[in-house]
Amino acid sequence: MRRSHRDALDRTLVIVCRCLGAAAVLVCLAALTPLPNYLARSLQAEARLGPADAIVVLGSGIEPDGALSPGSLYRVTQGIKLYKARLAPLIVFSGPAFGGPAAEAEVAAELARDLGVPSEQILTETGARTTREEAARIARRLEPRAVRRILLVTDSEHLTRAMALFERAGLEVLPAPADSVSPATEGPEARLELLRRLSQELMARLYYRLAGYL
Amino acid sequence: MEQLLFFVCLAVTSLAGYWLGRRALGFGHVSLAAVLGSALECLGASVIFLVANVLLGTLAALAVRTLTSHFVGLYVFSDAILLPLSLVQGLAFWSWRERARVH
Repeated sequence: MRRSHRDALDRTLVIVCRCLGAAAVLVCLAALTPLPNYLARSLQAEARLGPADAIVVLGSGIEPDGALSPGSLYRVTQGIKLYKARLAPLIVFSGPAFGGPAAEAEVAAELARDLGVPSEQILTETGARTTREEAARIARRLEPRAVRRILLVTDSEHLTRAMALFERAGLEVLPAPADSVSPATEGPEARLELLRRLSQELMARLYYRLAGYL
Repeated sequence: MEQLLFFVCLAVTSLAGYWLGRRALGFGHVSLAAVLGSALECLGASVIFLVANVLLGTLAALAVRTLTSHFVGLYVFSDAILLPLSLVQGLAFWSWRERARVH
């Protein structure tokens, strides 16, 4: 490459790096302000609780030792609370084993039974690995039971995408958020985590749109 | 109040760094704008590595999903560990550039 081209490339790289560096600093400074909270609220689905035919608790991961991940535990607890509030007669847990000793859905179902939910009121879906697969497989499982309306339990930022997929699968969806990181959180570290989760979800939405899933 | 403490800590350690460089280590006088610009450039290079890591990782995971029966979750590439590792990549790349320009 000619020297003049190299110098031009280097100057461009310096300008791009300075701009991106300034953007990174601004993101860090934003974590000291409520800006991430406003962003989270604008991108998240609001809770709309009401009577339904089933409660669907989406998977959030399982630890290698077979314990529910913190995010999963929040969702399962919220699902059981909704069941105990008699908002639906059936509760569906989703989540595969991902190579671990037990499937997330089975561990969640065991916890629900321990907390007093009857076995016959619990369904488990252990084969779905993505939100799209969860919507398709759970809708198929619920069809013979004439389930029309569900309470969907997942993180607030995930709800918008998940709701669209379940509605596409033919179900009426009531959002029931369960957040391991509250949208109202304070403190720079928690707000940075909120920003990371929002970025992750925005990328997932972009991917789902490009792939034609939404 | 807690957030004010952050800024106080940052200001104190920055001043301590300045004192260490100027008095104890005898660094010559350089304009603050140039130093901050250089820091932003390092940080920006790290951001480029971060974006490249996330994009490449996502594409690799999708390729593995498509070409084999193995399932790789996309969330692996939003792990917080990518931030410090990309920062190291960016710092190393920018240090290399700076040294190569001197020689």
